[in-house]
Amino acid sequence: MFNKKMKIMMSMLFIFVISACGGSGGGGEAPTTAVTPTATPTPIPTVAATPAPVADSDIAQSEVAVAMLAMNNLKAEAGFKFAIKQQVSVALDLTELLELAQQTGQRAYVSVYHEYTKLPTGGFYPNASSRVLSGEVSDGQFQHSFIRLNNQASYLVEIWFYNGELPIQKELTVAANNISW
Amino acid sequence: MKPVTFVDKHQINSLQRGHYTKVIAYITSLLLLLCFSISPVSASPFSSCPSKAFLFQSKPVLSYGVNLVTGNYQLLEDDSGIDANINGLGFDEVDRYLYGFNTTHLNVVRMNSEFQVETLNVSGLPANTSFYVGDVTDHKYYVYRTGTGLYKIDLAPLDSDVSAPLSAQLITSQSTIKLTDMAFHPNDGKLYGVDNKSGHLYQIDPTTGSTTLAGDTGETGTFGAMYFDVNGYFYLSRNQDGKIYRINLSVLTTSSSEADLTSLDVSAVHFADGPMSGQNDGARCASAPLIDEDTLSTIDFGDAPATYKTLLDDNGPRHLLDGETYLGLIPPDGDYDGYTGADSDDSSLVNGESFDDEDGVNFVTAFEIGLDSVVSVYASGDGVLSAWFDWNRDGDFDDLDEQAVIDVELTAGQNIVPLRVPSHAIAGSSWSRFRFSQQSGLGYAGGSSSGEVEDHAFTISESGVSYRYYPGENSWVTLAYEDQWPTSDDYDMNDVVFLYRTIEVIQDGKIVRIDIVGELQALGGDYRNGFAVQLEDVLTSNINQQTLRLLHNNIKQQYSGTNGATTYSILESDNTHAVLVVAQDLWKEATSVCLYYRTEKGCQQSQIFDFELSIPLINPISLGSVTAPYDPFIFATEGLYHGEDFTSHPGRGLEIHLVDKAPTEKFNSAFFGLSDDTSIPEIGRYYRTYNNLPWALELTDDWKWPSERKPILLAYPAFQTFVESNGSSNTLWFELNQSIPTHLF
Repeated sequence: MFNKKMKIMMSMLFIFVISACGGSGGGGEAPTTAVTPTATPTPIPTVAATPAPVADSDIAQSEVAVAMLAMNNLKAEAGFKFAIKQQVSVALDLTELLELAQQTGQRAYVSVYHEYTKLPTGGFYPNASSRVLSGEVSDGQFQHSFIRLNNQASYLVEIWFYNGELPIQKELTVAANNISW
Repeated sequence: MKPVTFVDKHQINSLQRGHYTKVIAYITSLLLLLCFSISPVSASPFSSCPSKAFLFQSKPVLSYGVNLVTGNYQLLEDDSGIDANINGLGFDEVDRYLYGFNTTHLNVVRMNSEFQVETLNVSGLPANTSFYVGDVTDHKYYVYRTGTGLYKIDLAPLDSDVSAPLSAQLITSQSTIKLTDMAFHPNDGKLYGVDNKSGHLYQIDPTTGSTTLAGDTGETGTFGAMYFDVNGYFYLSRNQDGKIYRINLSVLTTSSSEADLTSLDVSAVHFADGPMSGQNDGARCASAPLIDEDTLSTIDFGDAPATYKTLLDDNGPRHLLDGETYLGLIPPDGDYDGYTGADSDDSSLVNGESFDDEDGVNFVTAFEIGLDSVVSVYASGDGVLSAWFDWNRDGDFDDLDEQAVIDVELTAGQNIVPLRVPSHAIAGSSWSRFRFSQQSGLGYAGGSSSGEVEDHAFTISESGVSYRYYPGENSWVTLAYEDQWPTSDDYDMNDVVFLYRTIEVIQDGKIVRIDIVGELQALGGDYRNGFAVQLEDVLTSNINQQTLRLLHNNIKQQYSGTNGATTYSILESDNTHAVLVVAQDLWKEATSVCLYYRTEKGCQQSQIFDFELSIPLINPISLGSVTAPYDPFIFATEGLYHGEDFTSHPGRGLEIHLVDKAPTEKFNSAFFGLSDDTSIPEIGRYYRTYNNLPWALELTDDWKWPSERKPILLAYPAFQTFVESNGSSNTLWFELNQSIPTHLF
């Protein structure tokens, strides 16, 4: 393929430029047309100034050949998508919960996380980066959907109020692509 | 040469002196065997030009090391071998000794790397006179005293004989400025000092002694220690309160004129808080950078865009890691500077490792204009928190009410911090900064001797807005493309690699805006490719072009690319369904230290290109009408060669998508079925080989890609079982613990 041929050609050009710069041989003859500077592509100075990539050993090269062979023999099923994901529906009916917490009618905010840690002091510590859903509770309800990856079994749901109290937390398990409370 | 590690040495001196002496004796005898000319350790000069500043106080003199970046300081030596005060010190970069004046016995001395004092044989200085002001340049020691004059002592004779006679030469007796220290600028060769009473900065010409008033620093007090760094920043340490100020003299060179000097803004900016003292003197190797990148960093920096003053050059916030005071569950890693743009503190490789340490702050409620909000902050222990929010989204933290949290005391564990979003806040995405320290009174910039800074993007919203993130608010999927389509090639899956995530903004149960964020990770091929996203079920006419926004490295773009006079729009025309182009030629966005960008072993460099697409919809669409990650694809850059499968340059007509994603209307359908491609549009089969393998993969994580020409099966052997089991086994085949690390970039 040209892409890889190009890589080889660039390496060969690099070697050629190095030897040309070294001023070796030639017996004082004028350079042949093959060495004219106009034939040198512009990236060459960058190549000459770059750190040397680490060369592969012969063993590594044979490993590559074996892996390429395995790659050529690898077969997938016709409809396989190469990533595991499903749409998950979230239906949280928090009416009773809010009543119990005496928070009915208060502003409340829901977050759903896919990464979290169980704290030694009790409760969960969510990784804020892993939030998949967030939004307000409306009339005690929160209904949404998100994409579940790699068959993750459970998610952390947090409900925060705006009055400075600690949140209500629960780890919920996905059942038939649904999460409910 | 390895820089000296003063602190470690001191610790060993004080804690394990006996053991240390034995080890030194052993090492010394070994070195003597190797090198006959070696000097005794006790008399040795410094082995390098240290980045640390030195501070000298009291009688007998105490020698401190000061980290100017954070203000942190440590006693290095309390026994100089002499019962005297040493002042007017300067670091000689030629022989790497410190030179100073013994104000107790009134003679000139030098100090070695162990801070031990040797008295020098100097004549020509006035009798019965102390010098508190001095510095060294070009192997010459200069001393100054108000009302007495400026003197120069050539140190070259000491090279052969430490007891060689030296003579002081009077440069000028005109000396009216009230200085308590002075320092040589490393780039213009002039002396600088600040008059204590007036706060005026003066330049002194060391050859004539003539002085020039540069301007008013705005600060007065006893500036007992003054230093330069290699970039020409001038630092003042005030005795009374220990405050360290910085003056930017970085533009001055040997060719600068007097007008260049007097036109400068020489305001002293509060930089850090160091030790206070009744009596101070400072010295520093002016050629050293402020942070030495050859040693492990122990300083945490922020990562908001540069306008928020994030970089050290802008006096950005930074904290010395004390191992105790931090936010979140994980202590922060060290950085050499702030990060702006693609290179976030979450992922930057420093000290050979990196991890997401920005884990202490969580925005657990919405920020709605005019209403209260709650932020969850997890503290490692007791400390003081301040936080700033850019409410008006103008790129700074300077405006009304933008310091929303002022010196709030936190305790270990989870803390709930309430705040109110002001009514003048403007809806949209913005930045916040949290600083946690043992120090109170911190600003949004400047150094701190303990704690951590965390910068977080956040969104100011109208009420009733919810968000759906893919795969998470600040987490990533990786998109990896082979760009040889329709030919299958080496399957190293690194020709184009992007980190990618999406945010859907939802109001009244419908999507009103889609944001797409990405970071270019690798370019492992020669072909020139662009990158775009198709929103398969969103009409082009439903995109609000007036408010559509594309940012490259936080800078707003007018086009997705240009080629001479030709410009390419961000939202492509003539497509029924919306196609948003991020870049026409990714190689124009990345430069490489090697042949390719971040795919060859030994060619490490940091990420340099990120993008943010914000796509407002004219008519909100239902939640079910789009599915993240939508249809991100690469395409051939116009007018350039893209392989032997094409008789002419394919340009925009060549697209490479994730498996079974249909190309756009701009795709040239004559390319279907070429070479190894087995697409059958009639049945929705696209971009598969005879063996049903793809040219592009979506990895549901921040993925490490194979190095150049290493097939994915070599780097991730479990991929085979994953594919052959149709995804029922080894679903996490792409995780780092499933890889053969030697075959990864």
